[in-house]
Parts: sequence; structure tokens; C-alpha cells
Amino acid sequence: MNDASEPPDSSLPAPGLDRLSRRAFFRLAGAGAAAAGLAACSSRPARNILPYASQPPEVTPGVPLHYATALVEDGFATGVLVASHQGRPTKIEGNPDHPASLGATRARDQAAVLSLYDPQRARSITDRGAPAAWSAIEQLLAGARAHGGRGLHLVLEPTSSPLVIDLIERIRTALPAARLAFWAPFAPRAQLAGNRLALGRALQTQLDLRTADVVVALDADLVGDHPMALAYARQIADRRRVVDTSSPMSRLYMVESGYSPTGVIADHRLRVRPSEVERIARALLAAVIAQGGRGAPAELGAALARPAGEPREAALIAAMARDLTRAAGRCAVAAGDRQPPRVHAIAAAINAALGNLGRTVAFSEPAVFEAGQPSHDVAALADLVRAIDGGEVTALLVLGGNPAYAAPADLGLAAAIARAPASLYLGLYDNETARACRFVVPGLHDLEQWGAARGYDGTITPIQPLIEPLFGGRSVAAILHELLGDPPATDHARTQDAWARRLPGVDHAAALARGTVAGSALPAVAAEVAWSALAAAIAAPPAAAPALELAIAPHPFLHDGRHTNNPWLLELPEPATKLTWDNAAQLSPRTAAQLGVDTGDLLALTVGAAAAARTLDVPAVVVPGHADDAITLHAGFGRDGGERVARGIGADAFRLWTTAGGLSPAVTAARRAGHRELAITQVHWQLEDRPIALGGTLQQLRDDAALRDELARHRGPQPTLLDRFPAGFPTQHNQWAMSIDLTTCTGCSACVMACATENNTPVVGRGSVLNKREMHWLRIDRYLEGPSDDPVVVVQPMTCQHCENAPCEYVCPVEATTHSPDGLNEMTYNRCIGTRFCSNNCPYKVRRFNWFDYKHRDLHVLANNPDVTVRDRGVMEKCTYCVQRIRRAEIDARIADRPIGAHDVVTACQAACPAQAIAFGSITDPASSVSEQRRRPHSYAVLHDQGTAPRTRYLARIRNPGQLP
Amino acid sequence: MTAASELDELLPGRPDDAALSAQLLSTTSRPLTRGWKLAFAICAALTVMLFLLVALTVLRGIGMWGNNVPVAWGFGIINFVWWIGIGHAGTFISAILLLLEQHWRTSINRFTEGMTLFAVIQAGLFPLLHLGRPWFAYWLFPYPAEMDTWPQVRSALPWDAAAVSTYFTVSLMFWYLGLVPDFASLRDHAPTRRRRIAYGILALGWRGSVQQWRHHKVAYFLLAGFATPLVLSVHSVVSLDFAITGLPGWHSTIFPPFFVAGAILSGFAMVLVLILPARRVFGLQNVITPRHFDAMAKMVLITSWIVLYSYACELFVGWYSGDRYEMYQHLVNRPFGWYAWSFWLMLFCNCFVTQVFWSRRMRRSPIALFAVALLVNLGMWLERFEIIVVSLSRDFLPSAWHFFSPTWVDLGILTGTLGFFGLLFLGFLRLVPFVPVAELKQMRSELAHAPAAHASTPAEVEP
Repeated sequence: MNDASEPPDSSLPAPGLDRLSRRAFFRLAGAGAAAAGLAACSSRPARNILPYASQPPEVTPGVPLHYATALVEDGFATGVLVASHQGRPTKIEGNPDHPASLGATRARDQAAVLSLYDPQRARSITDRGAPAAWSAIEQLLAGARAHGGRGLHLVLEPTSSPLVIDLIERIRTALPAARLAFWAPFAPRAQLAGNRLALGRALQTQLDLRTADVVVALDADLVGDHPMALAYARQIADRRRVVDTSSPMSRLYMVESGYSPTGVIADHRLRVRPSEVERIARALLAAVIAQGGRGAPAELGAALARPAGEPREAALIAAMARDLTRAAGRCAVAAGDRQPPRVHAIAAAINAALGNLGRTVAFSEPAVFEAGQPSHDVAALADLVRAIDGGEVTALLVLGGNPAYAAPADLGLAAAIARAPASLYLGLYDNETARACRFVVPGLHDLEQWGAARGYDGTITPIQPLIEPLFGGRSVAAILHELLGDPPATDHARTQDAWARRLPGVDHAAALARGTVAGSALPAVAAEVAWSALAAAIAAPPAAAPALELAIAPHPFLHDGRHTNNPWLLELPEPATKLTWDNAAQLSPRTAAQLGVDTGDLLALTVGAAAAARTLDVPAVVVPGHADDAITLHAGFGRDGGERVARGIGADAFRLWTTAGGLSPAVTAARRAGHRELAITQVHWQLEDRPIALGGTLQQLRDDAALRDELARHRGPQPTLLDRFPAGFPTQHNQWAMSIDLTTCTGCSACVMACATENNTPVVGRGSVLNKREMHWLRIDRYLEGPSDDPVVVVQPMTCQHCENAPCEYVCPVEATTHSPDGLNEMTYNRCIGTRFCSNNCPYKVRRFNWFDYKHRDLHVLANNPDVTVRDRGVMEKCTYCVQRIRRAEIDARIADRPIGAHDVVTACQAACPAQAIAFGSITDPASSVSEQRRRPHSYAVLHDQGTAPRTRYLARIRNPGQLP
Repeated sequence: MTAASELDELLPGRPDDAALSAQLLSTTSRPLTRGWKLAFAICAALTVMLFLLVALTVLRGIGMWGNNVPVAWGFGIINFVWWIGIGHAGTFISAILLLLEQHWRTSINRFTEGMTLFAVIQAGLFPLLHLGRPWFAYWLFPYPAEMDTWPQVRSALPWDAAAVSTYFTVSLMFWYLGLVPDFASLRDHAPTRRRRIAYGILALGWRGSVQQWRHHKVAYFLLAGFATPLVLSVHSVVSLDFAITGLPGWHSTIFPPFFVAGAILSGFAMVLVLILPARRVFGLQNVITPRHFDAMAKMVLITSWIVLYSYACELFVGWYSGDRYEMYQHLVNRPFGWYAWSFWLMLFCNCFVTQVFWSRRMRRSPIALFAVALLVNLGMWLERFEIIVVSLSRDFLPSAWHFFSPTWVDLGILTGTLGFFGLLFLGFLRLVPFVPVAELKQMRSELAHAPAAHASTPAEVEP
């Protein structure tokens, strides 16, 4: 903060203290004060600041403002609303107007605020690690501009931004010799390629599941891992919500290897290895054609028909075909992007044969610029490596992403980048790519920049900054502008300029306010299946499956590793394994037994043979329900950059990714000496015949009085000798309550993350999670029912039940936990002395204790919600039903002099849930959704037999399995 | 048994007052042996370690211990209950047996009272330390807070705090009151002026007048009367820390008597562990005799059976309740769960090895007594482990089940309290006549003149 021109205090002569006269002392003191004054001058902002004398009309101190913007991943925007407390973004909610959000968010969207305030973000321009000036970058870019861009290579993240596309096109014109590649490891490629096989064009599949009575997902995690997952989760949930015994319910089939959120809610789940999905798809197509598929040549069906496989599989395929045919035009078949293009082509063919096209399934041009073109392929990176090695590259600009880490390992991209004569990386972190490049320019977080992007359906989503760039970063557009030699301008001016040119007639301000450009979704493209071309493409039977195969999958929260420096996401239990702070080779109990490993034992995975063999040591984790002879390994770990949180955690799955083997290679696994204790938050997975996660089939709920009676026993009054609550709870206040629908809950964990960001719950680290000290107020319990190799999974969000007869309250010696008149079980942190007696007496074990001082100490404090107390060491805490939101709604209602509406209070978990599985409201209001849900026939209380009278009720998990022929 | 033969058993050789004074008061003035110094040094070192670990716990947080959620109480409360249980034998021996006119209590009552005090001091550390915010521990007491906040009296913990602090206070007064005549003796026998002054102050001006003896005796019996219900109440209240909850394995009405019996079992075992070496080192075979051992071994046997009966009751009621959680806890989790070893080892220590005391020879064999007493102390620690850790580790929702494992701080603090206890005890052995000289003389004269005069006057006994 000091200018070099100012003399620092220490440069003053320092006479010995013994000779310091009174005069000398005052002289020195005066000089010191003057110097201090000068120093203070230098930190004053360049322009005058103004006092907050007249408050802007939209700002009320203490009341957050919400701004619409978007978070972008692999080019696809998810519209969000960001709460800003006096200019400080603290909380992200989904934008209800945005088609890819519908008001919900994913866990990683919630965690974006912590990444924004990550103190380890890149802070200054560097040249091989040493501080550098912007002028050096200007020089580099000016040099790259010479010779029409010859020798200039750019690697960008896939983009759908009309503004960046505009710049790219201008660069293509101005610098025709420049080469561009777009890279994101998990960008959907197979779908576009598959549609090109089936339809002749690389089109993007757009599902509309609102009218789908039957959905078959072929390794497609529609509600978990899809750019449109939030919308699909809502659409599927809307068709599966049980209101009463006459409710219709869609049927969901899942064919997959690992246990995904879609697999959790599926009515039938067939566990097969990734490579076997094609066999299932072919058999399904054959069966659909055999049952009279429209337009499909019968001989194709005959060619595909194969002798039936094992009985359950054959029965399931027959049942799928039967249900799909019955629901022709009201069903959908989707393929996941891990599957090869042929499976996507078959899925398109099945949809066509069922007459789904134009109804539940449509096709559009890709939302992402040039998606499906060679510039997005691995080959583009291979070309880059070749060009570097051939000395053709004079300047390499890597703008975003992390290709040195997240790319096939045999490309040697990191080493190649390091060999490039001049290279620049623009990004948020000093990551692997930054370390390979010469110049590093700090990038901008999504919440710091201007721009736009398209949602998966093509909806144009404007992006606006919530905060000034914390570390003075630059946007991709700024670099591209500089490359074009444009006059300097602000990002805002550039954005408005480009907006006016690319989107004439669309009001930028209005779009910013709303968060979307209405009607900008990409139009459906009329497409027909080219049956003969398709038949030729899939004529060859699928290659024989290897003995053991690996699926390198995006991590549900870290995706491709871009979020690995976010401790919130690292500590969020991975849904299938409840594993935190690590990745591990997921395998079935049988495969684990064959390999002689148990959870935590080390496995050496080897891909490729002989000299090209690549080996990785990872701990195993046994996942009942995983396909046999297959291993799922999440990417995003084993990071080797400068991010201190991410560094050294887990194993880098990308090291097993080769251009030949792809993301689902054949693998060999061998037991390796050693064991790693895995921080798994749940150690027991059986229900032990306890009334916790109840459920049944839709048929039972309709016809079987036994199930209805059983459920009725788990709600309603308990016989008691005490007469303490003769007429129930008082009704003069609102009586808050929650209802959680186990039928639609997928276990995606967005609610857990939303709760943590809303309520400032701390991160405790791997060691503490190992000792079961994680602090999440809301957790997702996962129970397995049925056979251990192929169980049915029930997930159950579990949090404070706000018991009317709370066991925690009477054991507290200091009355730190008490009941409020509106039915909340409250914690008075200041009164708590930490006996933990309440936790011992809580049957749900939802109370969390501050074993240490877990508070943020660094820049992360800015992510704290100012409406929620940050707890100190030694006190108990737990879910408050988001009491700060309740009180806010009460204040607002009182100011407006009206009663609180049925939907005025939305808890953080409820807001985030894509399936709308959580309802909250007052049970004194019969019109509230929670009152309505409590009247449903399958509403029940967990551990009702304990007489705790919990305010949180659950809707039993209802499945809709069909008859298997 | 006649009074005379009882006297021969309790005080073989019938030493006279002067001999008793010389023998029993000399423990305070003998030169320090090397063994004693070594033991003292070890205990002092462990005490220093204890307070360093306590400082660490307070500075860094209770997370230094192994506790977690679900097992939110661990070593802290186990150690608390264990030590407070050990503290029970003292008052039982000094108060209840006094009221029941059991003469054999006389030689060992001071010893056991000392043990009680020091054990309660160890126990008292834990409720304080295990708090998340120990600096607010005083909120457990009903002090006149300016915000009108009071403890929440439906919880067992304020009662617990009151019971334990009352128990400590009464035990201390009882112990001190019994010591007053012996302090006077020490004052009168003191070899140096400084000791005379120190013991003189502690003797509170005791002159041994009839008036003083009469007041002393009345006060002593009164305090015994106060202390007697405390023996039953303190551990009953401690047991309510568990019994008032709904947790399977805690939720049990049998807990108060069960805890008291267990406490007396562990207390007698600890007395045996301490008194056997002390008797040998200080050559007290004539005042602490096989007759005493016999009586204590019988107490161990009786309480061991009560404890066994309680275990059986828990198992039976667990099954008979028909409650799936209770059944799981008692019939599956404890005998066959993660910590099954602790259940079976506990049964072995508390109920199986004690059966050797059906044999009179074993009841009088110091080696057998010592070995069994050690095992019982281990077993009683395991019983609290069983109740606290094993019950908590698997309660209602299987998703929340989790193991507990202690940290090095847990183990260090447990060891440290043993050292601190030893340090206090060694100091007690050196500074105070640990066999009550005056009472012993009184007993001797009472029993010697039993047929003639029941109303033996204290005046016969020299101060």
C-alpha cells in the first residue's frame, strides 16, 4: 500500500534511546505521525468516495438484494438468483424463470460463493511464477496478431455465449491462420455424434418429460449428471408425485453400472456394465420394432434380435418394450453421454419408432458453438500437441479450463504446453495448466463478470457481476479483444456493444433483470431417422466386453476437477458411497470379493498393455448395486497444481484416460498392499427392520389395506399415560412443519449444500469426518433393502425433526434448547455450555457439536450469511427450519400488514430441491402445502413409536414397478 | 463371636494405647524411603501430564478427545462415573458401617475416606472438562443470576452437580472431624516445633476433654447420618444422567440401585488394591488383619451378585419389553456387536472371577484379593464403557451409527488421574495417620470391656 517514493519510518535516523532528548522525541514522533499520514493517503481510493447519506432506493441495510445471473459449465448456463448483502454475494438460488433451473440448483451451484472467495485464487499476472505487468501480455498478444495469426493456437472452454462467439468469428476473419480448439473433458459429444448417425446431423436431443409416462434411461443420469438435470428432475418428479391413492405415476427404468440418483428413484434398475448397455439398447430396439414400431424397417429388428440373455435382463427388456409400446408418444428413451454414439443413435431410433419425436423428444441445433465439430474433439488437442512438437506454434493461449490436467493422459498435453515458446493461461487458479504456461492471467469467477450464455435448451441467459473482481482478473472476452487489437474498454461496454450487435432488439436491461431472454430457446429442428444409414452404422455387433472395465465418471460435485479446491464440495458426501475428501474405485460386492479387497484396500488399476500401460493406485469402495466386473472412478481428484486444498487428495482418474481407451477402457485390477481409511459418513446401510424409511408400491398403496394401515400407525396420536398436550399444540401462532417426499427425492444433495451455505455450517476436514464430526445440519441417509448385490436404495434427508415432545429439551441442564411458541425447537447458542446431553438423547442424531473452533479465518468469511450466527467452539447446533427466513417473512408480513402467506417461507433446502421433494409451511394453515401433504395417505413420522411427535413428516417412498413377464 | 475373640481377630496382640500411638503415628514421621520417593515422583509426573492435557483440552477444544456424534460422551463420563463409584466405598465403610456398629470398619475407615475424597476429586474434574465451554460450568448451579436464568431442573445434570459437590463436602467434613483427635495426638507427639504448630492448627484446639469427646461423638454420628443417604443418592443421581433419556441401554428404571451396587463393588475393590500394599509397606499386619479382608471380600461377593442380577435384569427386560430397539441393544449389540469383547470381559471381571470369594482361603489371601480387586476395577470401568459408548454407538437410526475410539489425550487423561490420585494418596499416607488411632483405641477398650461396660467413655483414651 505504500508508494516507493515515501520514506518508510525505519529509514529515519535512530538515535540511541539514552540520548533521546525530549525535543528529539517530539521531532521523531511528529515525523512518524506525518509519515503515517502519508501512508494513509496512498491507500485512499483514486476518486472521491461518497458517504451513504442518501440511500439508493433499492438498498435497505440488512436486507439482501437478489440479482439474476448464470453459472456456466461446459458452455451451458444455469440461471441463478444471487443474494447480495450490501454488495457481498452470499447465497445462490435457482432462477425460477430459467428453463435449466426452474428455481432449483445443483450442489455445486450452491458452493460457487465459496469458490468466489477462495483465498487461493490466482491474484496477479505472472511470468513463470514471477510477477509481471499487463504490458507483457499486450506484447505477447500483439506478437500473436502478426502474420494473420500464423502460429497462434487458442484453447477455449466450450462456449455458447453470443458475445464470445462474436469475438471468435471476428478473430477467424482477422486472423485466418489462427487455430482454435474447444475443450472440456465431459462436454457431451457422444449424443451429437449419435444423432449424426441416426439423423444425419449433429443435433442436440431435447427431452420433454412432462408428458412421459414411461422413461427408459440407458446409462443416462437424467436427474443427476446432465446439463438439464434440474429441469428433468422436476419433470420426472411432477409425474411421480403421489397425492392420493388415485394418483397416476410414471414408470422409470434405469440401465446403469454405478448407482446414480436416477437409479435411486427408478422403479426398475438393471445393473450392467457400461459396455453392455449397447446390447440392451439393441435388444430394446428389436423388441420395440417387433411390437410394431412406426416407420422402422422390420428387417432391422430381425437383424438386431439376439437370443435372450439372463432371465431377469430378458424380462426387463420385454417389460420396457411393452410399457414403451403401450405409451407410444408418451414415453422417452435417453442415452447417457458415457455411452458411445451408437447407443445414442439407437435411442433416437427407438424414440422415432415409438412416435416420440416432436412430442417428448425433440432435436435442436447444439447450444454450444461448434459442438459436434472437430474443434471439440480430442483430435483437436492431439493436433495442438503435434503442432507444438513440429515447432509451428508461436503463441498458445489457453483461456479457461484445465486441459493440462483434464485430458487424455497419453497426449502429454502438459509437457507439450510447457514446450510451447510463448503460452498464456487465463484462469481462476494456479492449476496444472497455469504451471505449464509461461504467463498466467487471473480469470474471473462467474459472479464477477459480464457476459451471456445459453442454457441447454438454448435460452440466452445474461450474466452480470455481483461484485468487482476480487483479484483484478480479466475475462476471456477481454483477452480476445486485446488479441484483436481493439481499443480498451470495460467489460460492461464490450458486453453492451456485442449484445446490441448480436441480439438486436433484445432489451439488455430487461433481460438482466429477468435473467433470461424470453423465447430464445433454440427451435426444434425437423429430423427424421435415416433408417438405412442407421442400420449400417449399427450393423456390426458390439465388441465383446472386456473382463473388467472402468468408467471414468465426472464427480457429482467436483465435475471434472474445476471445483476441487472448494472444501464445501469436498466434504459433501458423494451420494452413492457417502465418501468425502477422496475418490475411490466403486465396485460391486462380488467383484470386490473376486479381487480380494474390501472398502479402503488399495487396488492397482492398469489400463493399456506393456509399454503403454498406465497404472493408478486407488482405494476400493464396495457399492452394493454396482454392476459386476466394472469399476467406476470419479474424476477431479489427484490434482497437482498450486491449489492447496485440492492438491494431493485422491487419485487422478484422468491418468487412466487414453485416446485409444477413452473414458470407459478395459482395465486390470490387482490388490495392492496397503489400506486407506476412507472418510465415509455412513457405516451401516441396513434398516434393521425399523420404521424409518417406509415405502411400498403404488399398487399396494391403492389396493393393500395392510400398507395403508401400517403407514397410519406411524402417524397420529400415540397412546399415552400423560395428559400433557390434550388438544395438541397451540394454534394462535403459525406452527411450522416440514414434509419430505421420499418418492421424488433422488439424494442429489443439493439441499445439503444449500443448508450449509445458508446456515454457515463449517467444514471440518477429512480427519474429523473420519471421526464422525461432520457438521452438516441436513444429511441424506441411504438405506439398502433387498439382496446385497442388487439392492433397492432408499434415500432419506434427515435433519432436526422439531419434535413437539423433544427429547433434547428436557435433558439440557441450562435451557439452551427450548421450544418456541411457533413450534420450533430452538438452540440458544449463547446459553449452551456443551454438555452434549441433548445429542445423546436425540433419537435422530441430527445435532452437531463444535468440537473445535471451526470458524472461517480467511477470505471465506465473506461467504457467511450475515443473518445467521456463526457458532463458536463448544456449542451445539442443528437445523433451525431456517428460522432467519421465517422471521424475515414475519417482518415483511407485519410491515405490509397482512398475514403470512402459505408460501412466504421457503427454507434453503426446499428452495434448492429440483424435485420439490421438500414442503414447508404452517400446519395451522389448512391451505399450506405442508398441511395438505400431512393429510396424504402415505404421510408418516420417523420413529413415531418414540413419542417424539416430530414436526417433520415424510411421504413414504412409493415405487411403481410393472409386472415382469 | 464374642467381643473378646473379635478383638483378637481385629487387633491381634491387643497392643496398648502407647504402642498403638507409637506405631500408627510414626507413619507421618518416618524417613522417606527410596521406593516411596520413586512412587511419588512417578505420580507427580503423571499429575503434571494430566494438567498439561487438561490445559490442551481447554485451549484447543473438547475435540482433542475421541468423542463424536453419535458417541458424544466418551472417556470423560466413563472416567467420571468410574471414579465417583470408587469414591463410594469410603463413605459406605465410614458411615453406614459405623451406624451398623461394625467394629471391623475402624482400622480402615480413615483410609477409605481418604480414597473417597481423592477419587471424588478425580471424578469432579470430568464433568467440568467434558463441557464444550467449561468456563461456564457454574451455570449448572442455581446462583442468583442477574438475568434470572436458572438451571433446568428436569435435566439430571444440575442434580448431579449438586449431588457430587454435596457428597464431596460431607465426605471432607466427616473425614476431617474424625481426624481432629488424631491431629491432636500428632501435635502432642510432634518431634519438631513446626510440625507441632501445623498439627496444632489442624487439631482446632482439641484437648480431649469429656465435653469435647461428647460433642465429637454426636457430631460424628450426625455426619454419618448425613452421609449415609448420600451413599445411595449420589450414584443414584449419577445413574439418572442415563436413565432419564430414551436411549436403549440407558432408558432403564433399574439404574439407581444397579449403579449403587456397582459403585460399592468398585469402591471395595479399590480399597483392597490400595490397602494391601500399604499394610505391607507400613507393617500394619496387626491392625489390618485377615478378618478385615474377609469382610471386604464378602462385600465384593455380595455386590458382584447384585451387579450380575442387574445385568440379567437388563437382558431380560430388554427382551421382555418387546421393544425392537431395546432388544437390539441388549441381545445383539452388546453381546455380539462391535464391542462384544468389552461385554464379555466385563462379565468375566465383575461377575465371574469374584466367585473365588466363596472360598474362605481366597477371602484371606492377599494375592488373590489383590488380583481380583484389580480385575473388578477394570471390569467396572468396562461396565461404564459398555453403558456409555456401546449404547451410543448404535441407537435408533442405523445411518447415524458410528464407532468410538479414544485419542492419546483420552488415554493420557485417564492415566493422569490415576497419577494424581496416587499423588494425593501418597501425600495422605505421609501427612496424616491413615489408621484412626483414637477410634482404634476406643474400639479396643470397648471390646475389651464389652461384657462389663457398653458405655465406655472416651475419657479413657488419651488424646
